[in-house]
Amino acid sequence: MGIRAHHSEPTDPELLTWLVHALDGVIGQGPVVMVAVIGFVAIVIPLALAVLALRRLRRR
Amino acid sequence: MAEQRALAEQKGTAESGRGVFYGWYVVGAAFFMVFVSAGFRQGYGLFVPAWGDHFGASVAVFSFIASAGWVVNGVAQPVVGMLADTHGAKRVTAWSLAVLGASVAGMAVAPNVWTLAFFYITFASFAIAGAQFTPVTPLIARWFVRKRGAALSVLTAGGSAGAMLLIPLAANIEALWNWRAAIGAIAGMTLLLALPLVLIVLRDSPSEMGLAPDGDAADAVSAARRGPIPEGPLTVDRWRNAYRSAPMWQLTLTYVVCGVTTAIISVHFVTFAKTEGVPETTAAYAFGLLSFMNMTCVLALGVVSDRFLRKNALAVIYAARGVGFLALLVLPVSSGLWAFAVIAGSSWLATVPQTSALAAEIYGIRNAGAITGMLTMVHMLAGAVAVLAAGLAYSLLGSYDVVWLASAAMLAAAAFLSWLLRERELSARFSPVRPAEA
Repeated sequence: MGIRAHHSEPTDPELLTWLVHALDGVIGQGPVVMVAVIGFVAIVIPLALAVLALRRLRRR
Repeated sequence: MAEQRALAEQKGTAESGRGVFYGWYVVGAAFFMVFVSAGFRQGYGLFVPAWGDHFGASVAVFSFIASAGWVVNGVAQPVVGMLADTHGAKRVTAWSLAVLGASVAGMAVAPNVWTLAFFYITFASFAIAGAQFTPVTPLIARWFVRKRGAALSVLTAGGSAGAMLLIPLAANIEALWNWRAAIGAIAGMTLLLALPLVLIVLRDSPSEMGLAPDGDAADAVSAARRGPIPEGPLTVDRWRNAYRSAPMWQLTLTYVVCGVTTAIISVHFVTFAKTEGVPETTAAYAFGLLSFMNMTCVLALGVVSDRFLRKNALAVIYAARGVGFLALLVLPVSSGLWAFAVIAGSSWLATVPQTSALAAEIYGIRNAGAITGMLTMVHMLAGAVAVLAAGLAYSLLGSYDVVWLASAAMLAAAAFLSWLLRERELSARFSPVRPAEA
């Protein structure tokens, strides 16, 4: 995906469309699967991190 | 008081001996914060077609909104840096995430384009500056000394990961429902995940927990006694005094070149590909490779730079990027594009942690937020001017050849300037100084 800017400048809309099409072509899954998988990852990682940090802080 | 300190020291010594060093939890929380804020900002263009249809506004209107947001974000960098130096990074990042989440939610329910612009330019663009690298750099620099390059590189990679995951997530939510749902989901992630995570995990300094940087047990006692503000050989009372010394100008000028060369590609890539007749799929895959290279190499170079001189790493990074631009100039367009993706992609983000780490090691951490903010602002504003200049050159000449050549020349100069930095004399890594009292 479009990650060429160090400070996250907005990406060209046309380039983003190209990249999303390319990614869809590579992964070949529908929107439901993509939302489920990426959404799961995006929710579980911070939750797991918060739980582990809280356990560490309580141990102290 | 002495008993409390002794207890903290004992805990610190005990903690550093077991499990993962807490500093890596801090890096993880900051990574997720940058993941969300950078992903949202880079994904702005994703919604432009839908906004155009919904509000009946032209692309020019959304380009203006993006440009205004770019300027606000750039100017906000030193402000949030100074706030972080004064009030602590945790407070600045938490408030920034709260404002960002609220303003993104406002964008999701905006009844017209002007409300959308108001939320994006005034609040979201400013708040993003406080939820990214600038305020977190001094915080990470307090937690890590020997592994500072690696820790800052992980933080930087958070921006890449945000674009790699958050943009496809938003695109697919938009495909399933609409743009309001996609932006609403980002607001939810900001307010319900990133903000609580920062509040729970972030600590401004390891000394708050009786720990020493890098999890060093042996240093815990002395670190707690010394106070939490490591100094650099050129430590300054005020950030502006840093500009009275050569390294600050070397870092600023090289970062200007960095901003110029990355911004040009970010905005002109599509026009270049079309001009040269590169198929959309090929261009997209080449760009995907560039992104993959930059995420992996920023992590690798971060680890490597902790073992060698950072100025040499920076010189190699700038030189490699220059070779990438030369490849665009001298190779046939298809092979040039792939060579650029590999060579320049490997250098793309790697300058950020190296420059931030060097600034903290030379000028200390007392004003690291403001100094990082100034460097970032200059980087962004120079990039914006370069985009216009490159567009003018293309309009006049009908080709990007001169732009690529000028970029390669500037990168060669940046590599030389980086190499000239007197790191062994001026960095706290090689010329330790007595830390100040907190």
